[in-house]
Amino acid sequence: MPGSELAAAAGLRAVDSRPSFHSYLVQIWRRRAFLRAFAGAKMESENSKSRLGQLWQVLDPVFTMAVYWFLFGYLLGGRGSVVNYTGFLAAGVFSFALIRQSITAGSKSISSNLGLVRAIHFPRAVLPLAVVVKQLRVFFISLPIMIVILLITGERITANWLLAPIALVLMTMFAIGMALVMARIVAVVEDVSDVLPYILRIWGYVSGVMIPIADRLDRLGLPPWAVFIVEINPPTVYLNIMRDCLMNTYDAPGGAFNWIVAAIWAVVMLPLGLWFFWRGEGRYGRG
Amino acid sequence: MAVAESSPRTTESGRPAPTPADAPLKIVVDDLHVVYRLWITPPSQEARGLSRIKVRRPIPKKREVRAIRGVSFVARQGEAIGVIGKNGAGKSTLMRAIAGLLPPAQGRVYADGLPTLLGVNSALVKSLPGARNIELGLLALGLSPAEVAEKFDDIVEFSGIGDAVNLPMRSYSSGMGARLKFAIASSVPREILLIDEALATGDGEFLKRSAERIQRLRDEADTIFLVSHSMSSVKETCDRVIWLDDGVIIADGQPDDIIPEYEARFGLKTRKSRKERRRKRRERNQNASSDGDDSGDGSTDSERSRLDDR
Repeated sequence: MPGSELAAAAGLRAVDSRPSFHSYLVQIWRRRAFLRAFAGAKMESENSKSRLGQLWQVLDPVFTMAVYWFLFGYLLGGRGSVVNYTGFLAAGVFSFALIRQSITAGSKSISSNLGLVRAIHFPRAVLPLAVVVKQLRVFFISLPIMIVILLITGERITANWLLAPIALVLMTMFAIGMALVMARIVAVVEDVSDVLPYILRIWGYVSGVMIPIADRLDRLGLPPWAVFIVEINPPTVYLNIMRDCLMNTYDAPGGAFNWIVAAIWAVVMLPLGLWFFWRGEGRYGRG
Repeated sequence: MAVAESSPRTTESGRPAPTPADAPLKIVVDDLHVVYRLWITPPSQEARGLSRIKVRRPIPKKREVRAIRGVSFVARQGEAIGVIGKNGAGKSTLMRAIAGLLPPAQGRVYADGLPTLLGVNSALVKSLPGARNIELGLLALGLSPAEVAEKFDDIVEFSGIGDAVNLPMRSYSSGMGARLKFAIASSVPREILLIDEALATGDGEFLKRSAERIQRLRDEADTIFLVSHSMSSVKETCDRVIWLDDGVIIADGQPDDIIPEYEARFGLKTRKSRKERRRKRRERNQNASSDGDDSGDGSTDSERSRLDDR
């Protein structure tokens, strides 16, 4: 009798069989304490690595901002494109840092925790999810810096600020989805994690992190469909809604349309990421 | 390949069944192949930015290491199976594959529930203190925070690492790390247990404690696998032995039949072989003193090759 029939007759199940999508989600929910602890552990372990530890992650958007301000604002004259360029840059760089760091760290979440994956059974999606939770905590630590920059440069706290948490939730949903997709891809083809930082940097450039990208594209005379693609690409809409919430000196092109697109990206990307990652369950940890 | 081809060998080997041949099946391993994929030039994690591209220039070649090459057997309720073999024979890989932690390249493993691997080679998070690793490990195993708090002190006490529990694990000696991992993994009783070299770590006192715990886990578990280089602990614990070599099973049967053969082949530490080596050394010395160096060396080589041929 072939092994599979023998096993079936005895009521045995394949050890690498994948649970149904629904029970997978339930399993993830049951490991939420592990997820929290793992996110905390990752922060702690980074703190123990170097003198300033976690602070480097918090300072990353500050330094990025300084470089962009000098290159694009001062040298290339981007300062003139908007009323409050420094505030524009702060809202863009800090928000995009969350997306970028979530995807980068999420992509390595399986490959850099193989020891754990090969030691203990748990729904693997917990790892990329925990990594995004960790990045979210980093974001909250750096948030006061962004707010101070915005206030110093002349922005006022308005009722629109109340919408910022919603924008953040949508952005995080998108980031989780992306982190899950990249985690599976990198778990199979590890080299992708080496290319990813460049792709993300370019993605940031075309999404208007440091200049109002749509205005610039219009002026270059690109075909309308190309401009449209840039305008509905996820980072562009998330940066637009963030700036609309936090800045009263700047109105992003598109207005309410951005919110609709942002919501669509979030609602599509999160389930898609979970589903895509779940499809690979049982194959993670292969050497 | 059908399991039936190899399983009769296991059941018909004349074992005075401590486990009846009709006991319920717990594990079916069906033509299992496990392949590690390696790149000969491993990617450098330190390299950043442009240098990373430069480092990658000579594209590393993919190499496959076939760690398990077609293993089939069945395990029944109540069996305690010792897995023996040289280093690199594929024992740990087999355990990981049975636990479902290492996906097979071909073939499948079927089990009644998820087997629990009790490994000491599994790394948790090295940069974190032992205490955090206890918490993480137990939560990953599916315990609730309340259960973790309940078990915490027991685990620290059992591991015997004392105040070091608050130091990062990378500062631990390998014995301390192994003890802590064993304490974590063995704190949760499971039906199917895979114990990987757990007895080989720690000092005498810890060995005794862990042997007791394994005995208790064995009593609670339905089916257990024990990977060990210690033939005495295999003899003591197991009623069946699987001998792995180079990723294939070369013998599967009763400990009394297989262990003597294994020891004759590899067990250089047995009293018999020690005596043998002493005798040879004496001969060699005599030869050297009477005939000179050359013949002495020659006889050593021929002895050695005769040993290898067996």
